[in-house]
Amino acid sequence: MTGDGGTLASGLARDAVGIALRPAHYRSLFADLPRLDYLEVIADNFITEAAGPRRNLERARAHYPIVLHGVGLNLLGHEPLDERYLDAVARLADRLDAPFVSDHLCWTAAHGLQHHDLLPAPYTEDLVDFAARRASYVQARLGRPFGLENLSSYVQLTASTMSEHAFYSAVVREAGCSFMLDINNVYVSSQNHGFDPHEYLAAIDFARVLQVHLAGHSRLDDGTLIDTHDQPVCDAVWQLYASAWRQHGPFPTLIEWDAAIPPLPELLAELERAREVRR
Amino acid sequence: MTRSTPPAWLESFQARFSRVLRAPLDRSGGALRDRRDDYSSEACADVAAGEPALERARLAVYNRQYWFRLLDALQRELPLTHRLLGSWAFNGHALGFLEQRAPAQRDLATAADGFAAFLEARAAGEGAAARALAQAARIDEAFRSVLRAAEPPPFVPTAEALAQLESARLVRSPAVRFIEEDRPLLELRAAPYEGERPLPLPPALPAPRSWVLCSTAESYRLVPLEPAQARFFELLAAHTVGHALSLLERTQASEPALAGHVQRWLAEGMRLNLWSGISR
Repeated sequence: MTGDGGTLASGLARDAVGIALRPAHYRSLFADLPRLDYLEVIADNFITEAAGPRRNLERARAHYPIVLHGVGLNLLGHEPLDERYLDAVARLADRLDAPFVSDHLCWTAAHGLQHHDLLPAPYTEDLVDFAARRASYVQARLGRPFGLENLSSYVQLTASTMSEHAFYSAVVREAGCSFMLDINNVYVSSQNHGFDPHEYLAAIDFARVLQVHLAGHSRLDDGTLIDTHDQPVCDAVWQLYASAWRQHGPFPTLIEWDAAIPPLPELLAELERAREVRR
Repeated sequence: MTRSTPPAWLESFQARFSRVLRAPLDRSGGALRDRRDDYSSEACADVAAGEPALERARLAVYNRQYWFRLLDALQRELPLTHRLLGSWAFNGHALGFLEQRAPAQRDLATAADGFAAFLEARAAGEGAAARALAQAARIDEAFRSVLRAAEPPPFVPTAEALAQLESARLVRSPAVRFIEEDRPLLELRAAPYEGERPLPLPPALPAPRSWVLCSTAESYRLVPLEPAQARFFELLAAHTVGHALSLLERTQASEPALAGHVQRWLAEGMRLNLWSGISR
């Protein structure tokens, strides 16, 4: 997975840091061109013929490498993968020369309807086989490294026969793809379901981690944590990140912020904190 | 094409979970609340929470997320309509619309397709505020259309085409819409808004205003149109240039400089990329 000189086979520096680019930051980003190793964009927002998004993406690409993150693959959906969607993502990845593409280990649609959410499924051996075959196919179809992201989840399912990290690891291993490891999601799910996040991270083969995501979350009145991406990364997640870095670093790191989006300097300050944690 | 077959249980599990997601919210108490007691016992049995109340509470997180994400998307897609209605009334209309038409497209923004027409139909025949709402919905839809349009190739008519322009029809660019407002709604659309309460309906203008909305490299551009110019562009959408001109002359007979104005308007239209080609 790791090439010479601390770079991924994908060409991105192993210790690269970046941000998830959102339209709220276009103006500041293009004006200031801050020091960033790369950007990540939601692929689904750019597989459109609309002129505006295409132009902004081209402007960003002129200054930074861009990796693609999808939300619509529906890997664990019971219906066949959408070949037109895969075509569009592959074309976009080619156009951007994206170092890698990622999406989620979840389902997002069923029976012809889109749910626009990242939904959990029971963790079972037969689903490992199904998911791994599909992830392997997607990676071959895209012609570049493909990473699967772990979910934040709010339910545990009675039909599960294995832990989340065992399921996640098995799918990645059998598919021959990579982890797109979201440490905030590990933390959120660990609090909601009462498992040890350190044990989860210890089970991950970091040689196969394409990228780590960090983000903020919210807490409901009943104590449930929700993956809202609307505030700074919390201290507990920073501690998990620092621990993972000490034991398994380097790995590319990216900050996501999707709601109540602050000015770009605030987001860059979060990124600076990631750099400090690693020193 | 991957031929992997899903486990036999997956489809029925996802059917149960999907029904929970799409379970309508309750508006009766002055706030949007989930109806967790209506979730099927089979769906609840899928959740390992240890106690029944917690199973329903955890499923309710997904149920609320489903609806709030869609409501947020519709508010973003129709910001002027949202401002006029306020969040409570807007969400009420939106829930009625979405319960009839669950999203089937991957692009979240397309969940709003048809909502402007739905609002216009609801507002039909009901007084000034309803007419303003219908106009607001049309304006929001114009923005959606322009901002989602592909960039048309530059239209550079040949000398021969220009010589025969009178008998030709100009094809409007997909990245252009014409807007008319009876009240300063475009200003309202751009006004800061924190959500929740409706903004006051602005007073009617002395005369309606017309604009052309076109996409630009940065985002979009609004250009004011003279009334006769707006009428001419409207006629061009349905007639050849020559016929549109003759129809305009019937209503503008007292304007001696009309021919000069038309030349100027056509030149301005070319400069703004209002047209993407010529048809005969």
